[in-house]
Amino acid sequence: MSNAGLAMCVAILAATVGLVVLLRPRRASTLDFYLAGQRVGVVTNACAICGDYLSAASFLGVAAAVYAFGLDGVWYATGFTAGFVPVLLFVAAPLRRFGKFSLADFLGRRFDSEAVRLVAVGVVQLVVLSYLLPQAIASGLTWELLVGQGLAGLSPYATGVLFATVSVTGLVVVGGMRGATWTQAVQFLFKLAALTWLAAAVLGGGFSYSRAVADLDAQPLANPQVVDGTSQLVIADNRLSDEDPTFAEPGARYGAAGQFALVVTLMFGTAGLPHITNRYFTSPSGKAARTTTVWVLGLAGAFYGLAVLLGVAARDLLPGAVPGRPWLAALTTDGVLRVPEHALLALGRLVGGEIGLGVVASGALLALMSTIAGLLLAAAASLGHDVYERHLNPRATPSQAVRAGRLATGVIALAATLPALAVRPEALSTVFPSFTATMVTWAFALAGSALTPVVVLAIWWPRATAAGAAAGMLTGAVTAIGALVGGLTSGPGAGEVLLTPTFLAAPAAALAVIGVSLRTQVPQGLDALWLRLHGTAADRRAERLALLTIRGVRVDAGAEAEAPAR
Amino acid sequence: MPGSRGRRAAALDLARPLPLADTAAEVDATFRTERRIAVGYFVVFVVATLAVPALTLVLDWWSEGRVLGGMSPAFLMTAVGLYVFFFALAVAASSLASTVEDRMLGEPEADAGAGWDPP
Amino acid sequence: MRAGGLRAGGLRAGGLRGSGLLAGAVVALWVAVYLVTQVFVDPPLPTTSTLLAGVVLSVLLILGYPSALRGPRQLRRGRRGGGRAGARRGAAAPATFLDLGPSMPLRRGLTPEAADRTVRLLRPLLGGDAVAITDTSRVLAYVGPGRDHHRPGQDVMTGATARVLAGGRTAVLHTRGELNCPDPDCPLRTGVIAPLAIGGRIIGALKVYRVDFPAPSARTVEGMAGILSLHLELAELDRERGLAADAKLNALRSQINPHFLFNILNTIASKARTHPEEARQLLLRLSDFFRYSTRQDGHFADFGQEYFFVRTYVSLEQARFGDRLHVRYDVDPQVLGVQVPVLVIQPLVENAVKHGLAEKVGGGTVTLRARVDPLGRMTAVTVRDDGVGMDKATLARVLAGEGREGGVGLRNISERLGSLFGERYRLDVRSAPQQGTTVDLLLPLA
Repeated sequence: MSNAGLAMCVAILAATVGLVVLLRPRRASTLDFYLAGQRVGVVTNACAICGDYLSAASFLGVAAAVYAFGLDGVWYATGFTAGFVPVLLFVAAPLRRFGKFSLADFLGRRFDSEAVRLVAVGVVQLVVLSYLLPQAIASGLTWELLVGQGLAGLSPYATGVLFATVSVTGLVVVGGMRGATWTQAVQFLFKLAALTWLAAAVLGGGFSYSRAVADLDAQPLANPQVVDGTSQLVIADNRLSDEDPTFAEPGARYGAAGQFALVVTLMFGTAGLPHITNRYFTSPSGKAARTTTVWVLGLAGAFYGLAVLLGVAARDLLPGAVPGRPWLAALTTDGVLRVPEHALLALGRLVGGEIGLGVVASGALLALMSTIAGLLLAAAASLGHDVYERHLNPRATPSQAVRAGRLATGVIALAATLPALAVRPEALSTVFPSFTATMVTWAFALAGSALTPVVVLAIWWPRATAAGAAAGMLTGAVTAIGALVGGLTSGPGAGEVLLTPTFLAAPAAALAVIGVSLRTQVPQGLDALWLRLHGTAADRRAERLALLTIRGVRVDAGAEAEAPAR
Repeated sequence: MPGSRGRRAAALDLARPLPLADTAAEVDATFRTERRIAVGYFVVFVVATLAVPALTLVLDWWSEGRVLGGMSPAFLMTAVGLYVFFFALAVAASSLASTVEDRMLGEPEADAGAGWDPP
Repeated sequence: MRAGGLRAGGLRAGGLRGSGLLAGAVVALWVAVYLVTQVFVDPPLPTTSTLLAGVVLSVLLILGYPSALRGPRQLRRGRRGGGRAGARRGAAAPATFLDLGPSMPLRRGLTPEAADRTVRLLRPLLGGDAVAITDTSRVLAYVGPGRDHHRPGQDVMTGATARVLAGGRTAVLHTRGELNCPDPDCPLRTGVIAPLAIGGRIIGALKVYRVDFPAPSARTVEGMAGILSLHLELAELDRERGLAADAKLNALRSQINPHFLFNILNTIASKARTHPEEARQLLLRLSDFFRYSTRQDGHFADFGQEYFFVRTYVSLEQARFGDRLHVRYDVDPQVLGVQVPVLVIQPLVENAVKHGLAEKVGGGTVTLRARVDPLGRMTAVTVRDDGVGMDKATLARVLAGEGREGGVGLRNISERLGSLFGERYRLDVRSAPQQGTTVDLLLPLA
């Protein structure tokens, strides 16, 4: 990438930071509206949630999946969006009403059990690590494409991984990126703007969505693979029928069972993601939390819809653009990109030159950084609070707590960086084309199997007990991990379904919860907890207080007899 | 949405005493209703979402038809239609849940200007 | 109470309008199905599939239409609640009485419910047919034969029990005559009555009866009564400890309100003649403030409530200062859900206004900043003013806890925080003459 592109990138990042600082709301009236659950606050929080949710996997990985697999890849995007519907129906309002900051906190307090809390912490760490790994890999890839050269003798890929993780970890530790609501919201708006610009540019250049899909569907789907040492276009296997797979038909990636398994995995995963559920704490009431999720569905849906469109556009436009563009020729084999994650970046450069590349790259970088920061915070805070403060050092002073949190952040970042460095993306691409999306799916599988069933049952089944919850989490986690390992070691075929194991592990976890709960006792004080979880008294109180604050002085409307009868 | 409550509150509600706590019976009834609603919408959601890949196995037309000269119904549904469906479902479920909460929990409509009664 | 549930709407209440709407929806559905499968898509769907799809969708629509409009079915209030609670209670009783440990019912005090559970647990252990627990005047719980006339809530009936309660020594009753039950049909024949005592004070009795001879073992019953007494003593200690802590916190908290009230009433009084309407509005606002501030459920409140206090206070002060007072709020919405100690933030703002800005010519700005730090699980609140500041000596005095005249004492606040959080909070004050004051507060996320 040339200096112009790099400069554009830096400029955009600086502008984002500047916007965040300048436009941060400082007037009381804005905060009043947040408190009252009115639209300004709800939309801002929804943008913040999207900012956390839309990682590099969403930004680059989804377009990559669509690019490489057509319809099978589109399901990643749709599935990621669908995940918020169970959140809305089952989790959003009660979780907010209960008032605990994190999932582990919530489960621990709901079941009045330290064991449950610790198991939840463990599962959360696993989920975060499995989500962090593809982010680190994606940052290496982005650096590779943008800068093209490594520092200090390292490969470009390794430099990218280290640069991203070290800088984000540093920022988090020092205190810069603690996930403030407004910051995350602005980041999301920027990412959405980048995609919108790209889509507008592509559409303006004469791209027709439906025609492109029809055209692509007319030829067999072929992706580059390394055959006999060179990269060649190889027509993909069709898992569904005997004909060659095409772009708009399923089968290029998943067989019949695999389709359903993937959709189910993505659907259930979101409700168990720790860094997302943390954000529900921000809403002023349960009702506001619900409305926020509706907005998230709208905003995230728009984002993913655009990403799919752009993936199709990349597949359609890039082959024709190879002649005369040596940079593109270097990335492709017979017009098809070797690493599908480059799709959006290449499209950006195609449509907007170096500046376009800079815009898309900065969007990807923002996505990476905000997600890595959010995940690090979710995991490190969990270790720091639920393990350190509650067990190792209950009398920790604030400085000790902060130090523990920083240490935890470093440890988790390290645990995610080392495997990323060991991996070689080109090798990965042949085994798992569009691996970013695939690896994030593993995180979704773990969250959806071990956490979602337990959280849903905790909220909606009063008979659930601590032992049941712990058993459920362990069962779900073990089953999911076992299935993933099994799927990885067996080749394509039946074993592949195991790579999206929620359809198996979530029912197992639910059965474990039910079975063990029926044999043990419910926690004491369940009635009070239930009132907090499903009753709206506190919400009504807060709402009334907020309205009072907004109104300022009371409006009497003629009621004179107001002797304060105390 | 808080708007309607706000209107009532603006007029005379502010003169009323603090909202009483919910009783366990009320909360129990509301909880069961909300659970029914949530499960109902969830079933609709899962059936509709899984019906899209299911139809490709069952109906050739689903993958081979061309809507207005372009995408197949399957592709159109997956890439655009389901997003709209999710949003519509979310709006419906959320407003129903909020309405149920408002009606089943909370004080009766204002008997206005009643002054202050120490709760 | 309230009108229950949602009224049945949809077809019934909507009447003609309801079914007309449904018919329109079905027609629209078929038109849509036709368009989508035959017109827009090429090649069109075969007829049988189209009809099948149309029929299935219509059925779904007709079934779903009333439920979507009407919402949930008529609710049945209250009837299920008891059943659920009962089922839970019976669910899994502990294996033996001795396994109970701290969850021993009487650990929370001598109440009818606790006594009831205790007697049920004790019955198999004491070798008796009927077990009862009384306090000094009434029967609290009874289980076993004779339940019809020995009922909880009644006054103590037998003279033997009265003697035990007065004298404090175990009584063994060998005959019906000694039992002295007024009911001639009472099946009980023998019994043992042992006192429950805390220290030397008799607070009740444990009674074990049998319908035949010989009497139950007095030693067993006495031993059990001793155990129960111990638990009751612990319960009382618990309660006293809680009361003491509450009393201390209450005392600290109540220091704040009077002087605030004093200041505001002064303001109101000064406006009463010249701007009566404004004074009245201020009075109403003040009453709001106090209505919420004195109704505390505990020592924590939502940040939203603290924010309300601050806003109310500021609007009241603005009556005095006019536009010499500016307040800026830099609060991250994430803080809104946090529970913070009650009446901690508003006094800090008040200090900033009264001691920082009141003496500054031309007024100034107070900034309230609040953030959640998820990494340290803390809430960080900063109150900063650009007022006159304090010199080193004054700062040292303030930190040492000597309040300035009318000041709320940072000492009061830090004592409360210390009693609530121990070491886990931090309160810093930085100030320099003419450079304003900054108060930093770090609280654990409750």
